[in-house]
Amino acid sequence: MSTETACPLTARDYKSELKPVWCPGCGDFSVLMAITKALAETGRRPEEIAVISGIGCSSRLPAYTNCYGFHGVHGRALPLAAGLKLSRPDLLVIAAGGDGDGYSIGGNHFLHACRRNVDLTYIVMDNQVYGMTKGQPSPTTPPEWDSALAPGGTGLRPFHPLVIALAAGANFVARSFSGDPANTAQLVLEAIRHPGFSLIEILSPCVTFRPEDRNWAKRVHPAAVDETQDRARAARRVLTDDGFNTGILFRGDRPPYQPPYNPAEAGPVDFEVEFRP
Amino acid sequence: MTITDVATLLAHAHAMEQEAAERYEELAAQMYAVNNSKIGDLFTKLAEIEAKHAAQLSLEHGAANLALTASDYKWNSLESPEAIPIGEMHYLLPERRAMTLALAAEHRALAFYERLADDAPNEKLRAMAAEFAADEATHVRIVQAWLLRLEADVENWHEDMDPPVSL
Repeated sequence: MSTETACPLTARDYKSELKPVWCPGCGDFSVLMAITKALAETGRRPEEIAVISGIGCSSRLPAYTNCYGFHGVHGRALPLAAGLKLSRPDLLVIAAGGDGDGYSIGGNHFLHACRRNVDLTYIVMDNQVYGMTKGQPSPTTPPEWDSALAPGGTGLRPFHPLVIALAAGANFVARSFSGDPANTAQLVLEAIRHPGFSLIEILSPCVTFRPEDRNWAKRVHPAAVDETQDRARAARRVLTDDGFNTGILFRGDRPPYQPPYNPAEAGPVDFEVEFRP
Repeated sequence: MTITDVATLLAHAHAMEQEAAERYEELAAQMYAVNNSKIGDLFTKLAEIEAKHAAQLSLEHGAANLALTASDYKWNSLESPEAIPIGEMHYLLPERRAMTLALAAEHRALAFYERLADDAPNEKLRAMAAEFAADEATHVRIVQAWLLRLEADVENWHEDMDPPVSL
């Protein structure tokens, strides 16, 4: 049940006093801005929202909001977020992180989060590199990317998260670009409002380890076709696109997984009993 | 461009100044975080100037009371025109480059109002857009004069003698 607000909330109401320590120019600044704008539009108060993350540059995001937050273990944002949503369905739950955290260390959780279709929004800031640990290739790094830590490139086919999300059962799939915060905010809002597991891949350049990606601003473009409810059609489109078309790519109608839950019947005290010798 | 009435124009004008002020504040914080205090101070000063413009619009037109929802703003650009794109930041950003970015932001604001004045469907809207365009033209001249007083940035200012390991 959402609480009525006395006056309209603004993005500023969702930002904490902590100043981000991301590198100047990092796309994640814009993503934070877009998320807080979208949250303001939901009308839900900060204490009705939880932002959950794993490890990495983008996973610092919960600290920069004044919603409830949990900065979890590497790759484990999704099980934490799903567990929270199942036990507190009244909360608006957002999971956030990067491509390494979500698709490599947390890859298995990603598959099953899509499959379970718990009502939460997963925001992946994809910069195609492990930034926090100094620039190792991630699952979405292009094979030819030449760097000191991967001389000559990895030669490995990149992971294709949106197709995999569609195949695994995600109920809403979208792509955006951090340099377009207004549309990103709108997509985040749409994802939050759509029931079930929503994935938004936000192309968010790492200006320190992949400075060449500053030119993504010139490559992104709105998807040439309207969103579809046909999962197979969406998957075909995503498989054959250039990776830079943005917008809602799939909007499904699977009912979210939410078993009946009565807070009066199960609480922390019950768990405590289970652990007593 | 779909702005057809004065109230919507005022909402855009106020949002433009407000977002520019907030962006400069944010960019200042980015610069302080990497110990580039000179540019942090510069952006703080620019944030104060933009905040004054927003306050002036509120005082003269009550524009702060006309806020639209985010999706109702029609900028014809990815962000409000006077906000410097975050992607333009660099931890070694020098002063002249910073002011060049500020000048480009003023030019975008000027172009926004000029285009609106050209396309306005009624005289009242045209007159107000032209007035705001004239204000922005003044800002452009002020920033140009400011730039003239600055020394050139060192060549290859973005090159770091102690770069992150994998570059």
